[in-house]
Amino acid sequence: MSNKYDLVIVGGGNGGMMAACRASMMGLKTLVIEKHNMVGGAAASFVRGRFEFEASLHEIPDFGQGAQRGNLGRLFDELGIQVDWLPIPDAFRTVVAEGDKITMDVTVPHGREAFMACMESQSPGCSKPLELYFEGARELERGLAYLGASRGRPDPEVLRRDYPLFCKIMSMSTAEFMRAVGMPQKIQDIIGAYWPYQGSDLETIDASRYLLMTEGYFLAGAYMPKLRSHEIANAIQKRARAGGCDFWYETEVTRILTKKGAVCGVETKDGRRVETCAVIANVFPDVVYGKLLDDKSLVPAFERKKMQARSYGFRGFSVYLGLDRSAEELGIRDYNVFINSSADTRELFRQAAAPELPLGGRADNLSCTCLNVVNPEATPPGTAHFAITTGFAADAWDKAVTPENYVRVKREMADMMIERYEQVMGVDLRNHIEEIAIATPVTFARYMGTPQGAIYGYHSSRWDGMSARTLVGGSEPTVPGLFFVGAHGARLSGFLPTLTSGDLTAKQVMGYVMGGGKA
Amino acid sequence: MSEDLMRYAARMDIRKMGAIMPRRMAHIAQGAPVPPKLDYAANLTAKALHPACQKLTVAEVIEREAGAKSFVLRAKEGCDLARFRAGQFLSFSLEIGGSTVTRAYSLCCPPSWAKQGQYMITVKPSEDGFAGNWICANWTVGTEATASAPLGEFSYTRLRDARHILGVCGGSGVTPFYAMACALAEGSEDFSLTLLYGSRDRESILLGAELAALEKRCERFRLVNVLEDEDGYIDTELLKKYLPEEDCSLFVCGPAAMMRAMEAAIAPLGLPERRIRRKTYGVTEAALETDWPREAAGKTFTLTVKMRDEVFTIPCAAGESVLVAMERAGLEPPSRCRSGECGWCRSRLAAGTVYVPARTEHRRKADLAYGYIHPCCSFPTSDLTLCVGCE
Repeated sequence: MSNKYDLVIVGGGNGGMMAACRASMMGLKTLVIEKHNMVGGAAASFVRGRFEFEASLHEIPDFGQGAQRGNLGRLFDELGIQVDWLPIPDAFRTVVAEGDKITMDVTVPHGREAFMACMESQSPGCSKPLELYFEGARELERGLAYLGASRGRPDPEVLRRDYPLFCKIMSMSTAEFMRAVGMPQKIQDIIGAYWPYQGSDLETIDASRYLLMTEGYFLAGAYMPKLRSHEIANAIQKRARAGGCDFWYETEVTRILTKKGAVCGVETKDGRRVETCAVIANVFPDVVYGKLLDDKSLVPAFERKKMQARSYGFRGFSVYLGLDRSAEELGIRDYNVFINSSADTRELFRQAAAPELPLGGRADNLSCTCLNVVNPEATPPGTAHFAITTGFAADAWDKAVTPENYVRVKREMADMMIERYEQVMGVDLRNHIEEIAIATPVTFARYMGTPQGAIYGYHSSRWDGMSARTLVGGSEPTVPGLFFVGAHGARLSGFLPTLTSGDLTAKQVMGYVMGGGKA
Repeated sequence: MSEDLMRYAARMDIRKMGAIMPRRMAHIAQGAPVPPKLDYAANLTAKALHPACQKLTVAEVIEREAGAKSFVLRAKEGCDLARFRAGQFLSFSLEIGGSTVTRAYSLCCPPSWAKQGQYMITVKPSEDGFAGNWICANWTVGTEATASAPLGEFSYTRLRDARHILGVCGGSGVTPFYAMACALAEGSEDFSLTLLYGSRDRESILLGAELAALEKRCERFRLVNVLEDEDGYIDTELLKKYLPEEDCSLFVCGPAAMMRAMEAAIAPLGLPERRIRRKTYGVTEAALETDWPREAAGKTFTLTVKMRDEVFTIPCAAGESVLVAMERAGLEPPSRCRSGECGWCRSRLAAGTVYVPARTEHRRKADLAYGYIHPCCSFPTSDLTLCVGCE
C-alpha cells in the first residue's frame, strides 16, 4: 500500500465534507474519495445557458448574526468556514387550494415578534401554546446537550430529575405534542406546512425533530448562500484543504478492506489501495454493507435486519426554470410557497406515498421557490430562477418509468407541477421558460448514488425517527473502524443535520484513532 | 421550565420514553437477516440512461460527400444502447499517437436506433483537423471505440421551445439536425423543422441526398439548401424569409466563425433570448477570439499538474487550451464537451492566470470565486499549477 491515512472519507457530501474539515483540523491525516468531479453531494448547482440552478437547498437556519447565530453558524465560525449568507425575508407562504378554491393563504414571517403577531392575527390567543412549543424546543436542546456530554450513556436518574420534559417530548409525535399544549388547529395547519422538509406527516414525525427545526426557522430566520449551495461545499473544502486534507475526485471506492474484523483500508475502482484504520462512509449503509465491505460476514445480523425493516424517505422531483422576466415582472413576490390540496399532512403524505404517479391528474405537495426574491443577483437582470419541488414517498416513480418513456413521463409530471402553480398563484411561467431542467429520482440516483434516488435517507417512522436514532447512541455497533454520516443518520436529513453529523462523527473517529484504532 | 409548561407537561407520560427502544427493537426484529437488495429500480434506470461509458464497434463505414464518413456503431450482440434525444452528442475517448484525447460528435441517426443497439456519427475530416482526420483514416469495420453516454442540451424541449424550429447550420453542424429530421420522420418527435443549410456548393452538401429523402417522407421537415456559390451566405434577409409568423425557436449550429456571423444576422430579428439556442462546433482556439491577449502568442508556459498522488510538469503553449496541453503530454484528464459547458474537466487553478473566451464561460459562480477553471476552454497567460481530479 503506497498511501497511508488516519481517516478515509468515502463520499464528499455535506456530512463527509464537515467530517473532513473537522478531522483534518484536529490533525488527522485525512483523504476524501469522491466519485463525482466535485464535492458537495446534494450541495450542488449546475449551469444551463445563462442560468446557474440551485440543485437542492431551499434554506438553512442558524446563520444569523449575534444572538441569532445558531449552533451550526457557530460551528462554521469555529472552523473558519466563510460563506456569504443572505437572509430570507419570510419563512414561507402556505396556500391550501382544493381545486381552484383557495381555503388558506398565509405568509409566515421570520423573527419572534413578527411571527407571533402573524399567528395571533390568524388565531387570537395562540401565543401561549406557541410559547410552550418554543420552550419545548429549548428543553429538547438542553436534553440533547446532556446526551451529547454523556457520550450516549446518560444517567437515567439525572435524565428524569433534570430533564423531565425532554424525556416526555422524546416519545411524542409532533401532532401529539401540539395537541398536548393546546395548539389551535389553524396554527397546527400553518406550522405543519413545513412537513415536506421534515419527511413525514405530523402524526409520524418526531416532535424532537420538528420542534428543533422549526424553532430555528421561525425565530432566528433562514439563509441562503449567495453563490448557491455549491459555495458551502467549496468553502468547507477550502478549510479542509488548509488543514491538510487530500481529495481524490472521479475515484470510486469499490471495497472497504478489513483485517481481523476491523477496517484496514479501501480499494478504488482503478486498483489503488489506501491504508487506514478508520473509514467514514457518506454512503447509505445498504451500499456499504451490501457492496463495499470486503467481508460481508462482518455485517452484524442486527444491522441486516435493520436495513430490511427500514424503508427509504422522500425521493425528490424538481423542476428548475430559468425565466426570461424578472420576479417583479412576473408577479412573484414570495421566496417559498407551499401549495397543497389540504392542510391535513396525513392526507398529503398518503398521496405522496401513493402507488401510482398522479399523471393525468393534479400535482400536489409543491414547494415553490424564487431565488431572486432572496438574491436579486442570482440571475442576469430581467430574468428569474424558479424551482418547483415535490417528493415521492414510495416507488410509484419506478413503476411508471422505463428508459423508453423517461423523457415523456418526467415532462408530463413537470407540466402538471407548472400548471398547478400557475393555476393557484395566477402567474404565467409557461410563456417565459428560457431554460428548463427536470431532476427525477433517477437524476438523484445518478449523481448521489442513493438507493432509489432517496434524498432524505431512511423514512422517519415512529420507531425509527430522530428520538429513537438519538437514544440508540452507539449501541447499534457496526464494524470497528467504520463510521457513517449523511441523511440516514440520527438527526435525519437536511443540510443542518448532515453538516452537524459530519462534525460529531469526526470527533468520534478522533477517539477511535487515538485509541489505536480499537473500538 | 415555566409553570405553564409544567402544568401541560403533567399530562404527558414520561414512561413512554422507556418504550422507544423496545418498540424500535420489535420492528427491527421483524426484518429478515438477509443481505440488502442492491439493484434499485431508479439506480438501474439511471445506469441505463447514463452509463459511465459505452463500448462500441464500427459495424459499417459509409462514404459521404467531400471526404466525410459516417460510422455505424454497434453495441455488443444483443445489448441496447443508452437512449438519446435528437441533437445530443457522444464524447469519444481516442488513443492517438500516445495521447488520449476526447472528441464530441453529434448522434446522426434516428433515436430509435439506440434501442436496437446502434448509433451513427458522421465525421468531416478537414473541419476537425487532428482527431477527425485520424478517425476517417483509421476507423474501419471492426474498430472498437469508447464513448460517453449521450450528452448535451441542443435538443427540442416541449415545455421550453416553440413547436416550430427554424434550424440554421453549416458543414458538419448539420449532424444534430439530421438526427432531428430522422426523429420527425419516425414519429418520435412532433415539432416542425425548417432547416437553412449552408454549404459551399452542390457537391459538398453533407448528407444532402439523405436529407432530401427525409424531406419527401416527412411533412414536418422542410430543407432549404443555401449554396455559397449560388445564393451567398445565410443572412438576416434569408432568415426573415423563412421565419414563420407563428411562435418559432431558432436553433443554430456551426463552426465558431459561422456562429459569429450568425449572431450579427440574428440580432435584427428581435427574437427573445429564450427562442434562440446555439451550439458551436469544432475546436476552441484562442487565436480566433478577438479579446485573446495576443502578447502571449508564441510563448510556452510551464504547467504543473497535480493528479491524486502524482505530479507532472509539462509545457503549455499560449494559443492552446490547458486540456490539449495535458493530452499532448500523455496525461488523461477528464473531459467531455470541450466547449466549456459540461464542466466535466473542472479543475482547480492553484497558481497562475488563464484567458477564458466569454462565449465559453459556463463556470459556476462559486467555482469562479474559488479559482476553478474548465481546462477545455482555458488558455494560459502565465505558468500554471493545476489540481486535476484532486485537491
